[in-house]
Order: sequence, then structure tokens, then C-alpha cells
Amino acid sequence: MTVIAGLEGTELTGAGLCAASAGLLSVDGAAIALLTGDGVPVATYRSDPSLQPIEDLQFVLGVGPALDAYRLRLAVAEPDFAGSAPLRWPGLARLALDSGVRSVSALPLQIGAARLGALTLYDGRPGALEGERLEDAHVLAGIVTRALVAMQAGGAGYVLVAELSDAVLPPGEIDHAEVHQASGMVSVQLGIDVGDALARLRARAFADGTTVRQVAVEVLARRLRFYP
Amino acid sequence: MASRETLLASTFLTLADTLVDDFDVVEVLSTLCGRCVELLGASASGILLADPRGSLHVMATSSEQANLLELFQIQNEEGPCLDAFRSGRAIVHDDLGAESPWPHFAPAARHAGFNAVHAFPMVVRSSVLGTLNLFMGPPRPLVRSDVDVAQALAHGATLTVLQNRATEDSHRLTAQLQGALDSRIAIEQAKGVISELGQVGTDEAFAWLRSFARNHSRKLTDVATAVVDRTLGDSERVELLHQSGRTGHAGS
Repeated sequence: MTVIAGLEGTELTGAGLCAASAGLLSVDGAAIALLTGDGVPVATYRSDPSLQPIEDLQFVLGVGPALDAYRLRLAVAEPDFAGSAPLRWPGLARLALDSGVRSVSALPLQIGAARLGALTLYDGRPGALEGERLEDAHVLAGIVTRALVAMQAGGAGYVLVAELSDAVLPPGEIDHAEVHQASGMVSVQLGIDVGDALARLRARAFADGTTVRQVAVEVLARRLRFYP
Repeated sequence: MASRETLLASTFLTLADTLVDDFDVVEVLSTLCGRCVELLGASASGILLADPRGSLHVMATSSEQANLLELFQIQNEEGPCLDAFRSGRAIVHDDLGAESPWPHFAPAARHAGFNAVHAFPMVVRSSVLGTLNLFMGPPRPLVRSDVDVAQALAHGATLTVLQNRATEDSHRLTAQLQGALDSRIAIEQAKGVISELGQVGTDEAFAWLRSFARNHSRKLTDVATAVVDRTLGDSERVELLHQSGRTGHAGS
């Protein structure tokens, strides 16, 4: 899978992941928004500062590609802000065109029912991501999601590299059924959402020098419990 | 007791009826796994789906026992599923004894009480989406007609995944696979939430989830998502969590 080979050497920061995503999918820019349950941004990253105004505007308006992808849990797109077809997000058109953006696609960043946010891809040419590029975008969104969980868990740089190769080399540590079940249990124990619970499991594995799966097995056996 | 022909016909009729309507991919595949057990005399069966990176994930099983899920999971390293997935051909293996080509998988399967395993590829055009796997208890060779039935059920599983309309861009295979995998993950997360709230094992939690979804004619994935997002109403949550002693037939 070429999209994965292209990630080698990526700087594992929010902006680094955005730059790598834009490069791999051959679009002009990419942004990552981490969102809370009702779509409020808690952190945003972008490959290029010029994308900040249009990212900010969608959160002011409460509508836009990242919010739609996140709420609908689906890939969404506007193929041409300058086209004759009715626009999906008319409120964004003026600023998009002023910023040199003709088309935009966004994908949800999610693991099961746990939603972290959305990955938005901006391009100066018209046309939504289609075919193989859209498939690559789905694969990439999965990897970015797992890298973000590792970042939230506060792993050091070298650990993040390990996390990324975990996500790349089958089977990803994080993709075991036990890990998802334990995330559900820990989300109840701590009264937090399941995505944050996954990050807490990951953080515990870092701290104990073990794997997230081992931590999950302890939680499932009720030998390990998390306290708020 | 219905004859095998009758049961097989009814399985495909039910499948055809289901697939023209809105359905839950995990629920339909779980039902197919149950039918595999009945039709082929297997002790257990399961369906694995590959993600876009080529890792195999458990999508559905005839039983949610942890040791069975684990047997499927270790097939990312070796086993009949991995062989069927990589080759696109059925792997029929009647004896997990000393001659087995899988030094790690075979002892684990024997330890769990299985003497034979078979895996059938889920093929669409030139791609293999995943595999349908049978675990046999007492040794009993699969005859030609068994192999045909198993492969037909694997095709049924393939159609189910392809027909899944959970995604807007439903013509894209990657999006469909991703949607199916996310459904399964949401169910695992919900099993964890219910297991903690109800202080029960994850297999019992699955039975509660499935029985609640059926009683309310709701999709399993939708209920799982509502459980994880904590958007079930108070009375619904109480109902879901107070099923002790009422779910004895949930897997049937």
C-alpha cells in the first residue's frame, strides 16, 4: 500500500500528520480538527497557516466539511466552490475561493463508535477525491486516528514511531477486540468518552512499559481498574 | 428437525429478504455463522474481514466466547483463515494433529477442543475480502456437498458486506469494509460499557445488546453506538441492563 510507505519519516505532530496527508494524497493542504461530542473543536492542526481562516469560519458558522464528516461519520465533499451546482456549504464559498481553495473533502477520524474529529483535505483544483485516492484517504484516516490516540496518550517521539508502525504492520496492537472492550469499561470507570479511555489505556501501557493489549486484558479480568 | 435442504433454502431466502432492506451487517453475519454450525455440523464458526491494510478482524462468530475470538485473532500470524485469505482458495484441513502446517495455531485450536478447521474465502472479482471459518469438534471429514454449502455461505457473507448501506458512498469497497469494521468495533466498545455497568462478562453483555436490539427492531450497530455515546434514554438503559435470566435464547 503506497500510502503507508509514504508515511515513513513523518514528523509525528498534528502539523506533521497534516503535511504528510496532503503530500500523500496530492492535495494542496490538509487540516485535522479534534472535536468534542457536540462538534466543538478542542485542537486544530493544519499543513499551512493560510488554511486557518476557512477552518475557523466553519466552527463559527457551525457547518462545514469537518463538522459534517464528524456528525455523519461519513466522507463528505464539495467538488467545486466555483461550480454551477448548488453548494453543500454556501457560507464557506467566498472565503474558500479567496484562500485559493476550489474543492474540499473531509473524512471522519473514528475508531468504532469513538469519534476523535475529522481530516479535511483542501485543493486549488476542482474535483472531489475519487477512486484510488479516496481509498487511500480512508486508509490514511485510519492511521492518522491511531497516531492521534498515541499523541493524546502523551507518548514520547520514539514511542509514537512505534505506534505508527503498530498501525501499519498487521495486526495493530490497538485493533484487538480486548482493547475496544476495555476502552468501553474504562470509559464507565472514569466517566469519560471511549476515545479518551483508549488514550488512557495507551498511556498506562507507556508508563508500565507493556502493550495496550496487556493492559486491556488486565482490565477485562477486573484485576486493573481506573479511578478518576 | 428440518432437512438440510430446507434449512439451506430458508437461510438463503432469509438472506435475500434481509439484503433488499435496511440491515445491520454484524447481525446478519452473526446469524450466518449460527446457520453454518447447524448446516455443517461445526462446533463453532466465524467470519473475518480484512481491513485496507490487510489485517484480519473478527466480524461475527457463532459464539462470543473469549477463547474463540482469540483463536480467530491469532490467525493474523498463521492459520487456515490467513492461508485462505492470501491464496483466495478454500482450505479444508481434516486433522489438526502432528501434520498440521500451523505450529502455533493448531495446538491452540486443539486445546480449545477443535480437531479440524476449514476456511473459505470471501471473494469478489479478483479481491478477497475475508474468510468464513469452521471449527469442528469430533473429527468428521467434509464431503464435497459440505464444501459447496460452506462456499455458498461464504458468498452470502460477501454479498452482505457489499450490500451494506451504512455508508453514503456505498459503491466504494474500501468505505464499505471500513464501515463494517467500525460497526464491529462499536459493538466491542458497547460490550465493554455494558459489562462494566452490569458487572457481567463480555459475552453476556453481547447477548443483552443483541436481545435489546431485536426486541426494539433496531440495528445492533445503532444500539451499540447509542450505548457508547450514552444517548440511550433512562428507561431504555434500565431495560438493557436488567436482562439477567432473560437472555438464555439470545444466540439462537
